[in-house]
This record gives sequence, C-alpha cells and structure tokens, in this order.
Amino acid sequence: MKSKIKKLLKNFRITRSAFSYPYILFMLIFVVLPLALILINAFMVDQRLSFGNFISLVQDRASLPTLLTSLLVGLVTTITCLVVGYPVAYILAKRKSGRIIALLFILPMWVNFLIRTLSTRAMFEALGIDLGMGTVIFGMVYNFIPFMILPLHTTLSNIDKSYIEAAQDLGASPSIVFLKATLPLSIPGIISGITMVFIPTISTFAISQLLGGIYLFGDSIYSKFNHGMYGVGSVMSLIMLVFVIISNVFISKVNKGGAARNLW
Amino acid sequence: MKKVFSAALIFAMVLGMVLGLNAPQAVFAQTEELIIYNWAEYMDLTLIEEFKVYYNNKYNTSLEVVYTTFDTNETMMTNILSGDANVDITCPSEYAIERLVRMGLINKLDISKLSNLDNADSRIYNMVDGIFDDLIIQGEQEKLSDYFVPYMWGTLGILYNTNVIRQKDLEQGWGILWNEGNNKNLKKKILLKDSIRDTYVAAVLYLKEQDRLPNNYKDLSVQELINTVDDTLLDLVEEVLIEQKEFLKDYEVDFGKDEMLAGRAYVNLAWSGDALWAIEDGENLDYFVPETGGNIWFDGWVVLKNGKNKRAAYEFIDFLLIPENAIRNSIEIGYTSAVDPNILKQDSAVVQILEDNEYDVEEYFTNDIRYPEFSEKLGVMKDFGAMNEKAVAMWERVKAEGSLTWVLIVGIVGVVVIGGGVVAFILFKNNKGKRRKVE
Repeated sequence: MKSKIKKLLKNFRITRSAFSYPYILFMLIFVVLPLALILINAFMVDQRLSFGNFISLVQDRASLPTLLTSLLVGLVTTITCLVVGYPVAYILAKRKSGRIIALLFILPMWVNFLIRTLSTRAMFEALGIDLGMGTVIFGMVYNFIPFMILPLHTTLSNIDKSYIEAAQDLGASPSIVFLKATLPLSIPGIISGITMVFIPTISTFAISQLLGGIYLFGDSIYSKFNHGMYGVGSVMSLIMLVFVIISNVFISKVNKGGAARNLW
Repeated sequence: MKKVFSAALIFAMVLGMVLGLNAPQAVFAQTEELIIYNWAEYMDLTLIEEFKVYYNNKYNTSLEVVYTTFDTNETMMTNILSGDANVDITCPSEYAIERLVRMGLINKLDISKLSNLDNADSRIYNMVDGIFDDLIIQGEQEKLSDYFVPYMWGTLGILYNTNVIRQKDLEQGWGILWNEGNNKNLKKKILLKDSIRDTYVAAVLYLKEQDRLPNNYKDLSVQELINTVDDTLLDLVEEVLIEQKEFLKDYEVDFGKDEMLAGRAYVNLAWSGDALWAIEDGENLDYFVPETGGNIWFDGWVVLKNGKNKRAAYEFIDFLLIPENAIRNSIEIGYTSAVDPNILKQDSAVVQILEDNEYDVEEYFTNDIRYPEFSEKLGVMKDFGAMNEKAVAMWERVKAEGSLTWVLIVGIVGVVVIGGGVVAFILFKNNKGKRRKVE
C-alpha cells in the first residue's frame, strides 16, 4: 500500500498540465454537471422518462412568439452594435485620441449590468421617455457594444499598414482603400464581434423586462424554473443551447480564415 | 429586481452551507446557526441583533443568523422544494403553508415552546381553519392553525394617486385598473403585481363587476370565485389582462411603492401594508378595497422539518410575538401585525413606541386600511394546485402579447435601412467608377 502511494507520488510531477487541473475540476462541476442535469430534467416527467415536456412546450402558444422575439431582438441588437461600433473601433485604431474614447466605452463595463440597467431605466424615466421596444434595444446595445468594439479594435489595429500604403500608392481614394483593403481585412473581427454579441443577447433576461416589459425567451425560462416547472424549463434551455451551437457552427463556416480565433 | 439578488443570496447561502459542513466542527462548537428565509423588506432588522443577544444570555452560546429573502410565495416554494435550501424557518402566506403541509415539509408546532402564542390574534386562526377545512394528512383531519404562527396580515387592494384619480374612477372598483372611468391620464400609468396569483384575483373580481362571467359562475361567493381556476376562467382572465395592457406601466412586486411615491405611476394593485407605508410618505396617496370584494391574506412562521436548529427557531418565533417587537416590525414595514390589537393597545411599551414614532394611538388601531373588518367580501386565496402549469402558461401568454409586432416593425425598419444603405453604397461606387472613366 505504502509503496503504491510512493509510486503515485513519484509519478506525479508538477508538469505544465497539472496547472489546468483546478480549472478542469471547476468545469466539471459548474459546466458539465449542470448540462447533464438539464439534459436529464428535460426528459423526465414525474421521475419517468418521457417526451411530455417537449409536447407541453409545443402546445404552449406563447413559446414560439417569445423565441422569435428573442431572435429578432438579438438580430437587431447585433446589427445596431455593428453599425455603431465599427466607426468607433476604426477611430480608436487610427487616432491617438482613441484611447480616451476606448476608456469611455470600457468604463461602464466595470459597473454591474444590473445597476447599469436600473440607472438607464431611471434616466429614461427622468427624461420622460416611454419604456418600450426602443428602450429595450437601447439597453441591449448599451450593454453589449463593448463586446463588439473590442475584437474590432484589435483586428483593425493589427492590420499591417503596408497594405493600406500599397493601396494608396496605387491611386486608391480613401473610400476605396477602406472598401478594398481595411474592410476585408477586418472581417475576422466583425465575425467574432457578432458572435460575442448575438449569442449572449438571444438568452438575455432581466434587461428586457426592466427596460420595457418585453418578454424574451430568457425571461420565460426564468419564470418556468421559478414556478417549479423544471422539465419544460430544461427543454427550453436545451433549445437555447441548440441556437448557440448553430450560430457557432455558422460563424466558424463563414470565418474560414480563422484569423480572429487567437483573439478570443 | 430583488429576484436576481435573492437568487444570488440563496446561491451564496447554499454554498456557505456546503462549505460550513466541511469546516472543522470543533472550531464552531460554541456557535449555533439560525437560517431565516423571509419576504424582502419584511422585518425590523435591528431585532435580529437584539435576538442574538437575548439568545446568548439565555443559553450561553453565540448565535449566527443567516437572513435571506424572497419576493413571491412561488419563488420561496420552489427553493424549499428543490430540497437542499436548508432553512430553519420561513414565512409563507396561508395557501403556501397549506401546500407545504401537504408535501410534508413542515412540522406541527410544539406549542409548549411558544410561551407567547396567546398573543396571536385568534380571529386569524379561526378564519384560516374555517377555509382550509379539507386538510387531510394521512387519513387524519388536520387543522392548519397547528402548523404556523401568524406574523402579518392584510388585504389586496388598490393604491392610487388622489391628484389624478377622480370620484368617477373610484366608483369603477376593480375597473379602475382597466381605466373603466376613462381617465385620460392613466395610459401606461397602472401597475399590476408580477405574481399571477394576486393578479388573477383582481381579474376575476373585475369580471364579476363587469358582469362578464358565464352564468354558472355568477352566484359564487368572493371566496369561491377567487379560488375557481378552470379553462373557461383562465381564458377570460387572459382576455381581460391583455385588454388591460393598454394602461399597464409594468408588472412589479417590489418597486410599486417607489413608483407611486415618485408619481411615475398613478394606480397600483397593492398589498395593504405597502400601501400604508407609501401613504405615510406620500400625502397624495390613498388605498381602498373595492365594494365587490377582495382578498385577505395571512403570513405566518413555519418550522421546516429539515431545519437544523429547532431551539433557536422556536425562540425566534416566540420573540416576534412579544407585543413590543411586533409593533416595531409593524412600524418598520407598514403591515398589520398578527398580534391581537387588544393586547397591543394595552401594552404600555407599545403605546410608548407608537407615540415615539408620532402615531396617534387611537387612530392607529381604528384605521380601516390597517384593521379592516373580517367579512364575507374578503376571500382567502388557495393554491392553484393542479392548474398551476396552465395558469403560468396563461400568464406568459399575457406577458408575451404585443412584443412580437414591435420586433417585426423594428426588424423590418432595420432591414430596410441597412438594405438601403447597401444599395446607396453600390450606386455611389458605380458613379465614382464612371467619373474616373470620363477623366
């Protein structure tokens, strides 16, 4: 017995991989185990294996519209983030003053999202703006835009200047330089920005409820668990997971170059 | 948003317990722990500190109190049912107590450990036993009153802004929530409860008032009506709640009083204690329970079976029954204490505390918002039972209603704008190309 332990100790060396054990353990407990529980819950009705949860979800008239709403809110948020975020990231990368702007964008990220959202709500109320879809989109963009700007900024500032200079030497006007050189070279950044924004937005809850009473899929999952309907809630979580996987596969298909992978 | 906070708290609590179990026991030999799971903003927290001292003096051991909160009975039950939330005492409403009893999660009280139990208002026990008369556990007829110690009670009614609401609106009863008085200031200014059980009560009573109930429901008493849940009624309630959304500002459970005080909302479906609390600070606020009838509720302390510290649990419940402590809680949170008002009135310490807080003692006990008559117009809620899932589904349909069209509009506008941008861009590009050729 003793020799066995000795042998084990002898074989156990602090190699590089040993440092990953705590993290692997963490992943097992907080990622793999919950996923397994969700999977089990999804197929259980009264402690018996069944598809009952799927059936009751399909029969629920509210589930499809809520899912569609979430996807559309996610889409609109992502597009808005891209349209607003790209110029910002571009300026950040080109100008020296960019650092201050970057700080202004990052600063709110250090504040907890709940506090941020509650203050946004208070601001809308002080300004007399009615809460609704518009304010929800605003809140979502406000919350997620740093995730769009950061990867874009990294990609844009890593573009080799000689490409731009070459384009200019060959007589391209600034707009052509942007279209033919900068934009194509920044596509990996755009794609990782979209991933970073779209996937969290489709599962958001609380923000939408606070800023306009819009009921999203995340809110619905929350309410299911809150009312003790674990089975249906788990099925809905699985659906969410499927969407995350679909968007990941889609994005990695588009992003064949994979230049941005080392960023995130 | 307390939901999120309390979820985090519970998580921290569970984690704490897991860690606590593994900690070397010897170190904490002299420390006991009491875990209290209460409604948010539902106790004068200085009492907890005083209780620790009291307990320390009595048993010569130090006591750690873990105090966590919930915001609806449903949240509380889900957390208790999910099992391992190792709570000693909690404070559900009567229908939730019934459900916990039926599930065998709470113990019958050991009355010998509650020396102050006689202080509790006996009307509450009588009413609750009269209503939950079908409580049969393992073939035995049981009394719900054997399982809980009443803490606070009150009604469900309407808190309104007297500057905006006219006599004509008040005459509409529950209809005020649907703006039956056609007050043009009420668009998007009404708050309902983000708790299906309470909002359901308001909706069925509104249906009764408007004579929109099917014939076979018309003769039901308030008590029967608010506890009738079937497909017909659920459909009707869904219909009226969707109609109501034109005037709805939000569904809330915890920020209603603040919105009302700030004048951002004018009408709020509210519990009497919250209303009293708000009226004290806002002179332009008032509260009423409509003529048609309403809901009366009781919250009480129960001792959970798998709680660890029974001694401290009973001591704490008993401590809260002391008139002085009861009135301090009442003053702090606004709700009506379940300690018999006749006992409170005669207690000189209570009178002193009331006077110190600038209350007119006579008025305090005759205020009909605080001490309404127990009448047939006020019904007690029961659990939705087997209809729970259907009711929750209905509630979600109500909440989801309307947002889809909005997203479609925004989505279409977005697509048009972006599509337009792309088209404009291509045109612009072609023009440039042409110009260059000319040069």
